[in-house]
Amino acid sequence: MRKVHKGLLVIISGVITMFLAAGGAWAQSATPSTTAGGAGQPITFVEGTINDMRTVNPWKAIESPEYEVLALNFDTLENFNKDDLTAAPGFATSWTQSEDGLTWTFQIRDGATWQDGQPFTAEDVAFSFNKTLDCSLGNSLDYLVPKFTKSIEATSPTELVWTTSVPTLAPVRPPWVYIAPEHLWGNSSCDEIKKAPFFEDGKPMIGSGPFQLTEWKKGESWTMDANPNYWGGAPHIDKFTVVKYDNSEALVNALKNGEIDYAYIGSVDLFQQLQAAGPESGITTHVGPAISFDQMSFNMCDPTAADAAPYCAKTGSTGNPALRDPVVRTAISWAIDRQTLVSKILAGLGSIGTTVIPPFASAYHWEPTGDQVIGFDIAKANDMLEQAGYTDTDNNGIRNDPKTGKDLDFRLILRSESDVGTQVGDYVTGWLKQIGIKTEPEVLTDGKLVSAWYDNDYDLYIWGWFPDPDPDFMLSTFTSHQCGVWSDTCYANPAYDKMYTQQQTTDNVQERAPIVQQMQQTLYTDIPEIVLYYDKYLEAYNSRDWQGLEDNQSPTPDGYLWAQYTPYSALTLAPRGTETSSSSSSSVLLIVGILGAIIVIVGIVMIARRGKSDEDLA
Amino acid sequence: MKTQPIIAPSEPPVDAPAPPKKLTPRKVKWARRRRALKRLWADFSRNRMGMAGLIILLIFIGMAIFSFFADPGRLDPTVVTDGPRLAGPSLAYPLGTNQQGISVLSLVVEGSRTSLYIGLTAALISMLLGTTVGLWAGYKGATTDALLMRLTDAFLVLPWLAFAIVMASILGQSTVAIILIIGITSWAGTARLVRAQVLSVKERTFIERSRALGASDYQVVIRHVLPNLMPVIFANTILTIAIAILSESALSFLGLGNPLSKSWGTLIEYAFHAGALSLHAWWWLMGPSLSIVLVVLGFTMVGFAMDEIINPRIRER
Amino acid sequence: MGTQRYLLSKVGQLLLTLLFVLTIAFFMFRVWMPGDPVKTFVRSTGSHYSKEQQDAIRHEWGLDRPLFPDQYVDFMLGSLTFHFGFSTVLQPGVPVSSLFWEKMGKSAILITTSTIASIVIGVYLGIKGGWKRRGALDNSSMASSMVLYAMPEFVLGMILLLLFSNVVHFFPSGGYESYAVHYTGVDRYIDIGRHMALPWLTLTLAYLGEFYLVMRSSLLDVLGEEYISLARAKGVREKFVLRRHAVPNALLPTITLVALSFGFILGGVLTVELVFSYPGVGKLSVDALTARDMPMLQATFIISVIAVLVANLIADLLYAYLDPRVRRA
Repeated sequence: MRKVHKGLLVIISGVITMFLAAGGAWAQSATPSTTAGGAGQPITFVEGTINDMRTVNPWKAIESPEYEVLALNFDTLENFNKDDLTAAPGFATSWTQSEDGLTWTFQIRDGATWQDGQPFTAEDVAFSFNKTLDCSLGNSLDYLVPKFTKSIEATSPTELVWTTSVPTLAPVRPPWVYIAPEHLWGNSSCDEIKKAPFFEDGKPMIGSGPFQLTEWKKGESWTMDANPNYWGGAPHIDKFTVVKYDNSEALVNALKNGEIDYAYIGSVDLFQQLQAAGPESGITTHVGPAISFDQMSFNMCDPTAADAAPYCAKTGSTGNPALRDPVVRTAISWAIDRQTLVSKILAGLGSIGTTVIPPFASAYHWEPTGDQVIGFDIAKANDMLEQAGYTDTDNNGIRNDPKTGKDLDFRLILRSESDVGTQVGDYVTGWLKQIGIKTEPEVLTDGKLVSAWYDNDYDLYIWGWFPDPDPDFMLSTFTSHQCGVWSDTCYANPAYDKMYTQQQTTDNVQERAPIVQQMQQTLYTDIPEIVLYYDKYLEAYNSRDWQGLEDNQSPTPDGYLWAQYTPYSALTLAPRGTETSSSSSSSVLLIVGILGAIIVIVGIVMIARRGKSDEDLA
Repeated sequence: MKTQPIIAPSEPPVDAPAPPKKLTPRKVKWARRRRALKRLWADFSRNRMGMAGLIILLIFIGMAIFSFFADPGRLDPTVVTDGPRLAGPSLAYPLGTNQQGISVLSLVVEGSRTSLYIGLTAALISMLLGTTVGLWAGYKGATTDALLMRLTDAFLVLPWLAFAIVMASILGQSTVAIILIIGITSWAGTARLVRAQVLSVKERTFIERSRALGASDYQVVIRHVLPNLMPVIFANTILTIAIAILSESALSFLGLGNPLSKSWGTLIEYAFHAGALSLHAWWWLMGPSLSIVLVVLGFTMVGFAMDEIINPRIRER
Repeated sequence: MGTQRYLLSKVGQLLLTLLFVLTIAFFMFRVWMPGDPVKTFVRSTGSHYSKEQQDAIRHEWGLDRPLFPDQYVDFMLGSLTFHFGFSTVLQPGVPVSSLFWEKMGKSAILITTSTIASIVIGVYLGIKGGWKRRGALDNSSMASSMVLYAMPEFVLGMILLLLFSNVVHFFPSGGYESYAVHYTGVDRYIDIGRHMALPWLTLTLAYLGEFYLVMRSSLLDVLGEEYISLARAKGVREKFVLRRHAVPNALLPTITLVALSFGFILGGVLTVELVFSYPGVGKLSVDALTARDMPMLQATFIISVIAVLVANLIADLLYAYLDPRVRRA
């Protein structure tokens, strides 16, 4: 064999050796478990997420990772009851309502401190609530019913009094407003508070909760340290870290490789794969509550209508007028096979959608029965449209609007950031085709969708909600004054608006529930949007190294293992006490790698020293 | 150009040689071209690489044509309601199925139409732009040449993907935009090649003669220069199509393509982001991927074969 | 003397081209680009900015000045000094260049090592192939080169990922280093190397074929030249014919190709970093693209142009060094 070829072979084998050394060592070394019990190493629980955290300002939170951090770093006035998410004692140890229902008195616990050591008092609560009201601080405002609250005062360090102009259950919903320390923010103006980042490098976020945000590498990861002086008890772990990944696949891989301990899994297929592997694989899966839903919204803004929402009248709308005909919307609803969506897209991990208050809010959810139910019937939908005059006048397979003569052709916006967005779009397009309606699907980033939404520049879009435990917020989004703020569709119904105010101002559940249910029924028959399905919250965590999650779900049954409204499991989570096996094979790997490099060098030398026998190469 | 008809002679005696048919300069030109084409084909058919490439291309073109007549319902998840989700390749589903239970083979067949269409159109634009610039620069020479070559060099060094990303942000994500973007980022190579060819053709004497006879620039270019360039341009266009298809797949993979266009690139992008790798649904990714590889190989092989035929020196290898 | 003039003219050309490209970039980013960067920024932060505050930001970013000459000059100078403004979506308010330099190191290692490996192996195989036509090595190299050429880089990456991470769990499926275990010292380098192995392999293989094919064909071209026959006639030994006459001349077109390919290599880095979630500038660019963060995309564009131009300059220098004709001019 010619020396040249031998040399080449040697080089190639050397490279392969190095390659295999690198890979083999990885395969050999024990799967590194997170530092649960390594001597001297802090006990860290690592979560992976694909949602990024943009801000930790308690008044600006929108995304779930933000709420997760805030729930650990701060407290609310009352806790969410572990089982049913109603108000439970937290900071407020007890409360009473006056005879006339206009005054709520809260006893605030004694001895709690802020994470910087300062005592926590009712003054802090009063400050936070009043600041929210005075500055109209965004997302939490409605919980403090600004229309009916007369005053919120700390009458002593341990007593808070909240007076309203009408009786209302708002103070015990519980209000989802995080309490911020007055001694740090008391002198800030509204503007300063709105823009304050609340966390800066080297300055941990001062709150009162069981954890404190101490590190934030924007876009990559953030870490919270345990607060051993928490009034609710010290956590059993030292640190909690969240790492950002790009997509569900990277997330699940990280979980399998032991790089993270917990994740919410957005992809049904990946979840089922983990589920199939079973807890013996070291990863336990958990099907959580069907608390969130996806919906298809119709553009309900008609600027020329008499009772159009003010923002709608001001901004105008490009929505197809045919969509404002309830017959069209009802027919479309009859053409959507929600069961197929659940079985095909959610792989059964969910249930069909009905109203915007999911079934888990058992006290308030309204379930349509008998004739009220809108099911799946293509023939019926076709009939409806035909009888209403939407016939195909130009024989192109698409029905025409009798008022304008134009084809029923709707723009359907899908979110690029949704795992299932385009899939649902495909199904919807297919079914609508069967009833003679054409769709123009468009895939937009959330940024662009928000623009289109605010400009009322759409016909249909598909998005989703994670409603609050209390139905008030979700119901409020359908009131006319939420158009341009939170309203999905700019639906404007004065009767509905009245009912909303009514349920806000009743002060007992027996009176409130029927109103809430009536509101759901109104929405179900008016169909400003179609609730497609409730999807279950899919979680998976490293059960080989961690415990204390399943027995502390919230709410019950089938609650969240982690990132709960009030983080109970954060205090019960503990390592299982397995020792990490140190990767001692690194030196072996190094030797093999060096060996490979030597072989490569030998090969090169062999080729370089070609002798005279290579003269006749041609 | 009017031609004088040549009067055919009267019936010849029996054992005289057959008289020539009516001959005109135009007929001669076309006869010569037909013969050249026949020779080209003869050479090409003897080239194994070229023939293999051609067969591959015919298969995919056939696929694309077939997709026009195929039932669109086979891709509609509301029609195909009982397909097995993420099933591996089998007799019923040679390339397996996707998340919605739709046969990946159907998706690939449907995608062939879009991918080939984008590839061909983009290459056409690239060819037209490049040829025009190259012709002009090569023929005119001097300042025009210098300026145009500066321009060409600038586009040649432009990192195409970065440029494409920016253009997509401006032009949006429609199919037309993608075609334009690919055309604009790939013409420079053709321009250089054409210019080099024009320079060598310019030297030849018949050009001088035509100009001496008073032919205008336009006539010289169209009638004399261009025909000599045809084979080279043709071979180059084939290779440009290959590049266009690769470019479209890269742009779609990054999410710049039209997500609803169902080209092979967007199929791969969707499957990748849906987690096909983790789900071990390799067929979902490999179906469209291997189609891209095969089609590009096909065009490349044909292109290289044409190169070999046209450039006699290469043939010796 | 000739070399100097050659060099100067090449640098001059580079500057001219850079000027031209930057001008186009200016038009693309400031004139033609739809959308208002200040509005995008405000929306990303989720905070409310009053009109005065927005105008203040606009002023700080220099966007309220007239396009010509003020903004134009700012843009040109800024680009040349690597000041690209502030990110509007990915990390609102953070200077783009700092985000870039953070990630640059990781990509730089990947790009330089794989390009060098690609060139070295490709050229070596090309020389072997050109010298001994139709041998078994040549035929198989030829065939695999064509297949590799026809394969988009990300497809190759996915195949390698499937084989070496899914089927055999030799390598991690992505990223730069492990988060769960904090390796230090040598272990850390090994961990990083493990994560870099597959992207590196992908990039090396992806461009190897091209270099092979060009080296081979240019060597064949050169072997047909007269001076080769002359050298042989003079009795020069074959291996010197190869080494001293054929290869140096055949290298010239290869160098030109390498320079031209650099643009494609940078493009390939983007898709490969995406496949492997490798947190380098390629992935940063893809994230910027998805988020439509214009200042970041501007940086991506301009930095890649400058990189390619510099690569071309280096190639021209090498060319001058190797080609005596140039030197004597």
